[in-house]
This record gives sequence, structure tokens and C-alpha cells, in this order.
Amino acid sequence: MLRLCLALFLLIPTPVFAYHVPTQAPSNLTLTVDYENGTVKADWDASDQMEDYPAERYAIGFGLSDEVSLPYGIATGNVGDSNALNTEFTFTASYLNAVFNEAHGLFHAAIRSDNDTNASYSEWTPTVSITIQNKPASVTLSSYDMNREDGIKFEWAASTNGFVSASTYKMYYKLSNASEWTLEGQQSNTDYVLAWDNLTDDTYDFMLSACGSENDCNDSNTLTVDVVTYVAPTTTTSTTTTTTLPPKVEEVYVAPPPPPPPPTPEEIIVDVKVEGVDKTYTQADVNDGTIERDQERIDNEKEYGCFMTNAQIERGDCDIPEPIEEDIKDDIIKEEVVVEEIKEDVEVIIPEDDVDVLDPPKEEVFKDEVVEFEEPLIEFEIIEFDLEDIASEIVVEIPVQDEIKEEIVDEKVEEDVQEVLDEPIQEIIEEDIDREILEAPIKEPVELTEEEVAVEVAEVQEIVEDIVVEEATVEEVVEVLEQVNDIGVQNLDQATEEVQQVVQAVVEEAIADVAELTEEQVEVVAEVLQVEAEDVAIIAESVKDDEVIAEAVEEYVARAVENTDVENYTLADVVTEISYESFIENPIETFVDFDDLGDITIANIGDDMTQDQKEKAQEVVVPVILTRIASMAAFIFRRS
Amino acid sequence: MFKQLGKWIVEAIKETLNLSWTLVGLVIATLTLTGSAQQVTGLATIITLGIWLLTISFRK
Repeated sequence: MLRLCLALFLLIPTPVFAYHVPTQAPSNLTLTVDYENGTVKADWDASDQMEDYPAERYAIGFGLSDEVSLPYGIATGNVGDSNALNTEFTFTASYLNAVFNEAHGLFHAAIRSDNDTNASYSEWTPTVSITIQNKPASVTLSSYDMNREDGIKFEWAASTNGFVSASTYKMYYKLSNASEWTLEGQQSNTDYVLAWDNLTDDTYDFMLSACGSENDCNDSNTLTVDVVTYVAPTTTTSTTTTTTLPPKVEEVYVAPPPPPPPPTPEEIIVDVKVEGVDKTYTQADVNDGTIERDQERIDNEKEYGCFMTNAQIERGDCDIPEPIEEDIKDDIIKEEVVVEEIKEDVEVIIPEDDVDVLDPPKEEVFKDEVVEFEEPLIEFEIIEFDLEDIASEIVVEIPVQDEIKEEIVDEKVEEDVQEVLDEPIQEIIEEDIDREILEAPIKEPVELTEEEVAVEVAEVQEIVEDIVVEEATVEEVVEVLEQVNDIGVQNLDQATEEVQQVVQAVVEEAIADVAELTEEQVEVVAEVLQVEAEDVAIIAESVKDDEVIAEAVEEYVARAVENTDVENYTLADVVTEISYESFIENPIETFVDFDDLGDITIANIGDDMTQDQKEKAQEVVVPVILTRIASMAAFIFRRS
Repeated sequence: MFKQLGKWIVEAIKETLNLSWTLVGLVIATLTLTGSAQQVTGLATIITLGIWLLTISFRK
């Protein structure tokens, strides 16, 4: 009996013993793939928080590979954050793409409870895996147009929200009462015309599959349409209206008439005599101010000799001559020319859609005229009236061309700037700015989490893959360096060796082309090398005649990666390392390399050193001198 | 002559050993410098050491 009790005691787990685990692992981890939004949601259950050190946040290990592995980790948040104890985490397609450079495959995840306060961490949950297919989000099929000769046209929005964008779309259709789908279209456009040959007047179901590059497809909704095959619309002649019906009258479906066009502006046609020449205007011309502008042109031509509108005159397009007798002759000549131009325009009918154009090119207007006469012009009562009466009665909003608007805006801005510059308050503003700059806190280097570094490294990798260093433009080089700066050169240890080599080559390229770089681009290069911007030019110059610095630049990235743990590792450190190695190899040469002694003057000693190099040298030289002085003093003191 | 030269060599070695820490510091300083500063420092170190060793008897 005693042994039985002992056996039961050992076999039956009691919750009390579970709580002896300092931090319990979560449970019931599940992964759910959402192809519509391109997300993978990890969901788990928290422990009952009764253990010694309950979870303060959760760590999620994840990976995307055929074999189960969790090379990356991310946390639900920092301890105390509102979301730190969330029991779900969503991986987006963009995040997976950034980390893995792809967003499909076998995805693995496991969760761990973390109690950072007591440095207590649970075991990982069993790894859960799920397959993310290379499948785009489905599309919504809702828009179609049967009023076409060639077939029924479907249009849809491109599928871009999922893990991958759709590369092809497949159109399926079937009679609603049938079960088998028929595949008809397969193309990359976001519209498709299914020819009438495939359809009869019946009820059909249509469905569209959005497919990825590996032919994993996601089906759209089923769109049911009562198909009515297209029949050519009625045709009309200029004098009589005749409806042409097809032979099978009983099967004819007359397509719904197109929406009525906006009310035609050609309600009236106005003949006006300008300078003794007939000119024809429509109601549209009256409405949009064409008549008024023409009137302005005529008036201004008379007054200034420029066949221009008031707006053009005010803008200064017309060189208004001084009222002296000699110029009068020129005015007369211009007037004659303009009158001839008007005569050329005698038969011009300004097109009805001429709304915004101040000075429509005459040739284009002539083309419109030809088009206009292809259909019989419906003429209304022709009214003879005085142009000036119309112009004064009708309020017309004169459209202003964009160019004119921009000029007006520019002028205003310039005026404003001038006013500001003239005001004495500017000095006060500058002083404030200076103070703000001085008081601005020194930018602390941002420390990235492992996950953020992984993402940034993936971004670097992505850019580097596309670049050919020898053919790279300055912009491409700087783009790579900017990306490297985001994580810091030393964090490139997480990138592949190939990526490091490309980045190294890019750095060398940047130094070689430093003369072509802008100030901002030089700053980017300086940030990579951890030197001041003005030192980049010094380095570029030194590389040409100093083997040590040239080698340092060549090996900078590799050595920075090797010294990931060294804080504030800069190009100066690489230079010192290489100098030391060179000294070990050949001590005499290092000290007796006096090639350019003739060029050295007292004033320029140290000018070819970067600021960082000077600081590091000071850190060594000054203590050496001080130590020597102290030892001499001690020696003298002892002897006395 | 040879005896005096040998004696000087011994003295020079002794003096150089006395300067060991200083020389180490100067070597490190020279290796930390680049360009003209490195050349000047290296040259100055060698010249000064030479003068120092050549003037042993004078300084005594």
C-alpha cells in the first residue's frame, strides 16, 4: 500500500510542482497564414502567471527554410510595454521579405517566456511549422462591361496585398448550372475581354485566379452575370433616323443607350464681324469667355498694337512702345499683320470643348473643324448682334493657365522673401537658431536590436545584390553606404562575406570618386569610415601616396567586421594596426621611409592626418612625453 | 681605439636599455601617426637617439 501511494505520488503530476519552474513556457502555439493580407499570425496561450518569475514579455524564434531552424528572434516588446504580454504576433510579408529576401516557404516559430528582471527564461515551446505558398491575394471580380462588340470585359484591381504580387491572372467561366469551369484567359493585365464566341445569352459564373510565379493561385469571388450578347446599336443618318435591326429580331438585345452626353454648348452660333470679317462663335465661346478675350485682343491691338488679351498685356508679353511718332508706323504695320491673321481665321469655328485655352493654336483648331463637319451640324437660329453687348452682359470666368498661376505665385514668394530679408528681425531669428543648435542634444548613437540589425542587413544584402561596383553610379554607391550606415559597418558581420566584399569595394569606389561627391554624399562616406567629413578628402589624397592608408581603406570593412566588439572602431584604428604589422615585418623600413621629407615644412606637419588619427595619436604621444618627464624628475629628485 | 669603441658600444647599449620605455612609447607614437607627422617623428627619434648615444661621455 505504501509503495502504491509512493508510485501514485510520483506518477501524478500536481500543479504545485509545476510552479517550481521559475518561468513557465507558453502553450498552444498556432500559426495562421492570411494570404489576403500577406501575414502569418502566431498565437499562443500564456501561462497562468503563478510561477516564481512570470513572463514579462515573449521571445519569438522564427525561420523560413525547408529544415526546422529558428535563426531569427523577435520580442513582443520591452518589459513594461503595453504590448509586451500580447499572446499573438503578426509577421508581415514585407518583414519576411526584409529578413529572408522571400516570403514563402516553410515557416517555423517557437515562443519563450522571458522574465528579464530576474534573468529567468522559460524553455522554448515546441516548434510549429506552416507552409506559406507563393500565392498572391485574391482579387475581387465585380466590374464588367457587356456593351462592347468584342466581348464582355472584366476589370479588377491588381493583387498586391499578399505575400507576393500576382504575376498572371486566369479567367474561368461556366454556365451557372454547370459544374466544370472553363479556363479562357491567362495574362498579366488587370482587364480581360472574354469574346462573345464563348458565350450565349444565358446566366454565367465568372471567376478569376490570381497566380504567383510558381503557379500557386488564389481564386476570386464568383461573379454571376446574365449575359446578353452584344448587338450593334442603332445608326442614324444626318437627315433621318434609321434603326438597323439584325436579322434575328426576336433574339436582339439592344444595348442600353450610353449615358446622355452633357448638354451641348452649341445652342447658338454667332456671326460677328471683326475688322470687317465674319467670325463665327458658338454658345460655348460665349460661356467660356472666348468672345470676351477676342474683344480684348481687338481692343489691345488697337491700343497697343498687340493682338493679346488683357491678361497677356498685364503679364508684360506685349512690348508697349513709347508714344512717339516714329513708332506709330510700326504699330500700323503690326495692325495690318494682325488684321491679316484675323482674315485667315474667318472660317474658324472654335471647338466646343475649347474652355481653358487662351490662345488656341490655329492649326489645331482647323483640325477640329474638319472633325466637326463629319457629322451634320445642327444649326439653330442665327442671330446677328453686337459683340460688345454680349461681352458686357455675360459674366464669364476667365480661365487662367497654370503657367500664369505659377508665375504669379513665384512673384508673390519673391516679394515675400525680399520683405523678410529687409526686416531687421532677421538677426534675432538667426540668433535664436544658433542658440537652438547649440542647445540641441548631442545625437546618441542608436543601438539596434538584433532583429533590427537582421532587417537592416537584409536590406543591405538586397541592394548589394543588384549592384555592379565597377559600373555603379555615384548615387548607387552612396545608397549602399547609407544603408550600411543604418546598421554600422561593424554589424556587417551578420552579412555574408560576399556582401562585405561588395561593401568594401563600394567604400573604395567612394574614396576614389570623392571629387564627384556632393557635400551630403561625402558625409555619408565619412560616417562609414567614422571620420569627419573634411577628413574624407585627406584620406582620398593620402591613399595615392601612402601605402599604409591605402591598405587600411582596402581592409577597412573586413577589419571593422573582425572587431565587432571594439567600441568606436574607426579607420584610424585600422591604420594603426597596419602600421604595427608593417613595423613587425620590416622595422627599419618603417622608420627610414623618408621619401617626401623635402615637401614637409613645420607649418604643414600633420595636415595630412585625419582629425581622428590626430586624436588617437595624442592619446599615445602625450602620455609618453609625460611619463618621460615624470621619470626624469624622479631620477633628479633621487640624485639630489 | 677598439677598446674605447667597445666601451662606447657597451655604454650605448646600457643607455638604450635605460631608454627602453621611452623608446617603446615613441615607436608606438610613430606607428600611430601617419604621413608627414610619422616621418618627422621617426626621423626625430632616430636623430635624437643617435645624438644621445654619441654624447654619453660628454653628458657624464
